[in-house]
Amino acid sequence: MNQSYYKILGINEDASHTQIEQAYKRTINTYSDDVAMYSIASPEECENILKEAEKAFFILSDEEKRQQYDEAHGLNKFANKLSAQKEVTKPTPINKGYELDFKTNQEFEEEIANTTIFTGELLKRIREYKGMSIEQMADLTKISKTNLRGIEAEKFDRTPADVYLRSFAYQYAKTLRLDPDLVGRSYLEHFKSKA
Amino acid sequence: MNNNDEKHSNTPQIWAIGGGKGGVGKSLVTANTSICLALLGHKVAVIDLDLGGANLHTCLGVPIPEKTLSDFVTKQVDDIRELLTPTPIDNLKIISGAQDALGIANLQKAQQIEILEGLKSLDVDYIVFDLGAGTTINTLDFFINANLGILVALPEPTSIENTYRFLKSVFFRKLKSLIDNPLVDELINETMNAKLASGSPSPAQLIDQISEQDSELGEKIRNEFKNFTPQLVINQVRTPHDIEIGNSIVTVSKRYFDLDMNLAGTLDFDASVWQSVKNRKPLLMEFPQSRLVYNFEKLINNLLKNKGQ
Repeated sequence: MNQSYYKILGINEDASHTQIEQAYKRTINTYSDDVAMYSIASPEECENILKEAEKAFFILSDEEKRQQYDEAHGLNKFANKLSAQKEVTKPTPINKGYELDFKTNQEFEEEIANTTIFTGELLKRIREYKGMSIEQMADLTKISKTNLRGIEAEKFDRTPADVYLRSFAYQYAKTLRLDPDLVGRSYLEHFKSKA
Repeated sequence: MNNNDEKHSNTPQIWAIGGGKGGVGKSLVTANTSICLALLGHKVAVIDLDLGGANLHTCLGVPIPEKTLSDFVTKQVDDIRELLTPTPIDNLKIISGAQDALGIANLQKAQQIEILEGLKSLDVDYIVFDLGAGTTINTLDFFINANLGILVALPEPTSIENTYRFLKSVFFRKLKSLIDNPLVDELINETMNAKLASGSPSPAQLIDQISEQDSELGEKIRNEFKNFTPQLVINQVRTPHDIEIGNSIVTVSKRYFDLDMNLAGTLDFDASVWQSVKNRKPLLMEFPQSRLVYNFEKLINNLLKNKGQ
């Protein structure tokens, strides 16, 4: 299915930046909500839609990229403006997570991008950096606050089974728009190597 | 068509309240929506079309009405006004569908029109339908032909699944009534019979396919659906996530059904509801302090804003 970025986010081609942000947030919330989705789309389909939405938002949230995209797709309402502002703006980092409202710290973004082992301590730093509270995360992931704190401290009263631990880290990563596979796997390996 | 109705203030606005599943609180929502409208000073007739499970009168605290719509359909009653039964609220009257389910469940198209025409002749401002559960042709037609279609759902997987199923049925019923084209019929049947979560094209993709073959027809269909905005009500909300589910259903119905739904309101879970049903008294009258009263006010305001759009 080759839909336009506007269609993927369910917005009009003249949507404002705020509308794009809201649509993106809505899309992410919807397609990562198993209760709302299980009867209508498979997990793979949801995952694909989430990826598409991520791409769409990456382009449409950036004025310059959006203009280029519009031009390439014959939506040239910005055509005249484009020649006036030739300067290339810095690309927004792709994991500028979205329900998240935070100020990008380039240095830390790079550190995150180069990390291969996500420890509890690092996850906590990322969570705080992205301005998400434990409460919000508990609400999004449906993981208890105790377990979320446990992941960060790498300490549990009763350590959950591996598969849960990985799944917790996976969910945790997802809400922060990190690579959930990498985080889930590396966290578990790190946790077990410590034990 | 809705716009025309707006201009003639003497033609009642029809609001149809449905939902794919039984037990989501349709009757309760219908009863209290009607009461709200009546308390706002509108003249309201509320019609129980929940055949087989008719219990709207209980929610409104009146005994089973003697004469029902089946009497009208079978010509035992000539004047539809004879069916109006008073309720404890001044401006609010109730018409019962039927106690014998068969009579109305199998309405012919002509009888359907007869009922609609009869109801529209009533001297009221609003007609509110309590549709039954399920997706029978009659339920779908009453929903589609209303000025405002309202869907009640619970924030639970089974109810959400049924809401999608209802939307899908509504979509195809409306599509079929719009176009008489064997090729399109075949496409519809294929998509209709596929499971909800299968890889078959969604209704939204179906319109895309039709557009590819016949852009004029595709355009016509899109235009017809543009003004069709089912209103969603999420009942028994306990957490913020439950409200989010309402937004999710709206997002999904845009993508999969190309339908612009509107989340018209959410109703808090409130144990006093059950108490009021037990007492056979309308909730809004029995528990004026309940948070639900506030919920309903907000809901009605939203619905009034969206009517005739």
